[in-house]
Order: sequence, then C-alpha cells, then structure tokens
Amino acid sequence: MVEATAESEAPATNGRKSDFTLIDADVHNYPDSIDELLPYLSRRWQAYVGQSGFTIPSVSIYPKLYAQAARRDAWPPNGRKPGADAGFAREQLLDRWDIDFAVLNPLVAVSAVRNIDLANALQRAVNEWTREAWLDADSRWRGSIVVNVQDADAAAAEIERVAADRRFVQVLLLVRSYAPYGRREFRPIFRAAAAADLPVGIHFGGGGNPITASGWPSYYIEDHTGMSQAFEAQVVSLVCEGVFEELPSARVALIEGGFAWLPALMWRLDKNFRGLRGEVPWLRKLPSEYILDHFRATTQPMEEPSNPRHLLAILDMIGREDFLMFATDYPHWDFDAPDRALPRVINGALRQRILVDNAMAFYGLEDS
Amino acid sequence: MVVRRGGRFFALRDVCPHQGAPLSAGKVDGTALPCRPGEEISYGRLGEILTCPWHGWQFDLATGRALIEPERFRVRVYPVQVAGRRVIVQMD
Repeated sequence: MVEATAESEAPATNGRKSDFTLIDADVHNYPDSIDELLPYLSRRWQAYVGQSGFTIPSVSIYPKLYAQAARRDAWPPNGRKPGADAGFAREQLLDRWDIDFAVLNPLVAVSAVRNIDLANALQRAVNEWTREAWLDADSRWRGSIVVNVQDADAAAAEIERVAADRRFVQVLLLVRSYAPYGRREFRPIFRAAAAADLPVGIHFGGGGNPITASGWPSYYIEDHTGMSQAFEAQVVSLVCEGVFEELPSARVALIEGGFAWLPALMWRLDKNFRGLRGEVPWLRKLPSEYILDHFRATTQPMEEPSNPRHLLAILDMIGREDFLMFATDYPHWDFDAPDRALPRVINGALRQRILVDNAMAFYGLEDS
Repeated sequence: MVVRRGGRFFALRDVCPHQGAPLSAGKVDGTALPCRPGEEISYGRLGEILTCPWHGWQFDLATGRALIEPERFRVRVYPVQVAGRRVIVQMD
C-alpha cells in the first residue's frame, strides 16, 4: 500500500492549504464547425477553406459507441455539438461537479492536415478560438496550446507566442504520432515548452501509423484498449532519446492513457538499460528515475479491477503520491464521474492529492 | 424512471450502478445477440434492453441485471401495477 513518507506528507502546494475541491485535468472543447475558426484565419486561408470545402479533420477510423464519442446527455439543447457550447459545458460539468479549474484539450487534429501551411494557420486559429470562446468566458477554464507537430519550428514559435497568456497551462500533443516524440525532429517543441515553463500533455488519439504496434485491428474496443501501447512508446522514446538530460525542467502529462501498465514498463526498461546503456550513454540515471521525475498521468479512463485494492498496489509500485491527476474526459462517453470513479479505498490525503493537489502543483494553478 | 413498452411498464432507479449516470438519458432497444466467432451478428431482444448514456453498459429492463456480470451489477427495479388508467410504482 502507498506509504506516506515524510517528503510526501508535505503539501503539494508549497505549504499553502488549498481551498479547492476538484481539478479536472482533461476536458474537450470543440468548434461546432470550421466556420468558427474562420475569424482567426487570414484572408488567404479563409478563401482556401471556402473554395475547397475543407472541414475539420478527424483521425477517428472506427465508429465510436455514440456520435461524436459523446455521452448521450452531452448534446446542448441549442443544437450545437457536444463540447461546442461553453455555457452548456459550464453547467453540465463545472457547476454540476463544483470544479475549480478544468484543463481544456481541443482535439482539433491540425497535425493530420497534410497541407503544412494550412496546418500552421490552423494551430494559431484553434488557440485564438480557445482563448476567446472559452478562456474569456469563464475563469475556471485553462487552455492547452495546440501545435502542428509536422513543423516543429513553427510549433515552437506558436508556443512562444501563446505562452505569454498564462491561462494556457500546457502544450498538447496526440499520442499516436507518425514517429515517437523523443526523436530529435520534435525537440524544438519540448525546448519551447520548457523555455515557457509549460508541461507537455500527451493525449489519447491521433494517427499517422496503423493504430496498434501490430497493425490494424478490426474493432473500436481494440483501438480504445490498445491506446496504452502508444503511451508506452512515447515514454520509452522521450526517456531514451535524452530529452530530460537536455531539458531537466521538462514535464510531461500522460492524458487518458491509463497508468497500471507503468510499473511493468519501468521494470522492463531498467532491466534492458543494464545491458544496452551503450546505445544511450547520455542517460545518467535509471530510466525509471526519469519516468518518475518527469511524468505524471491523469486517471480517466479509470482502470477498474474487480478488487479495487489492486489499484493501491499499483500506486504503491509507482511509489509517488503526486503521480495521478483526476480527469473526467467530458463530454466523451467514457467520462469518469468525480464522485464515483475513484474507488473508496483511495481515501484521505491520497484522494485529496489525486482530486486537487497534484494538478494544482503540476499546472501551477495556485499562481493563476 | 418509468419505461412503457407496448402495454407493459417498467420502473427502475434512474442511476447507473457503475458511475451514477442518469439512465433515463439512455436508450431502450435491443442488443447484439451472442454468436460464434465470425458468425453474422444479429440484433435482438428488441425493447428489452436499457443502455446507459455514458459507458454503454446494458441492462435487462425487466430484472435490472447487467448483461455482463449480472450477479455483480444490477439497477434497482420497482414493482409496477396498472390499475385502469393509473400506473402505480411501489418504491418502499
């Protein structure tokens, strides 16, 4: 079971007792259509979008459980799409659950737009839209900076531009990339995030390759369950390529990827490192030490073992009480309810850390 | 929540036993019937199955039992009587 150590008993918020009750580390906001991004595009791209009939790309291959992958009760009464109405999201999520801050992760797949110049224009448009349509609408929203990973220099410039608004609390990447993010071509993104003192959030989804390490499966249940493979690949890549040696302040959130797989991955990677260190001699610590120092994970979709105490055993293997951050994934169908998703065996100070303190510290929300 | 299917009424607690979703926002329809691997899948038990609006858990409308692990998960169901034009749900 997770033991409270002297160090872990220290409040995560620098000694300040938090008055907050719940932070939601993963919420999705969507433009209702490409039309809502047009005001944030130049005349050239407005004309291009209008002439070509371009629509917001989806990287979803498999039909989901429900339309828009949304809870059936998340469709706003005014006819907009789930996650496309800031007022309805405020009522159904923030007010309903008394949430103090919620991190918005817009899943507009700009990196799937192969016209690289349009993708660069769209990243800027999405970020400006998030700022005006959401962050300005309610002070509880926090934003994530959407970037085009196909052009890492342009992405870095966008991070630098947007990060001046401290309501943006992370850089958002999708876990299914065309190559793992530790590779040097992506380093400008991590450098820019570190320079802005922003974490990088790696979120469920994306495309660019067959969606499992063994190719294309038949079913959405395989797609959804297999997402953790992609998270494992990103963790291994970021550690082995030395991102955290070059950028000691870099921090990464694993969002919607689960966490029960992490102990096994750490054991396997550490074991291999003993013999294969010569490939990656810039690593000066065990791979698991980089993982525990630099990564955090969100809870949703909460792993639900038949015996809930097994979750405590997993957390004990991970060994950090500040590792998990609660998330709902609103408005998606696999939403985790704040009052029900964490089993009761997760209680006391650990529960408070997962629901509030860990995300407050990771995203620096106490400074906002 | 009360569901009417033809002349029959069903009364169930409007709370999913998994994470508390409002089941009344879900749907009453059928389910994919069990079959052999690769066999054509047919849809049946029309009107007998309640599907949760969040995670898609399915329940037998008449018993409240989940289709998966029915011994572990059930929605509370209440006896219903129809007396003339009145529907009486016994909730004690």
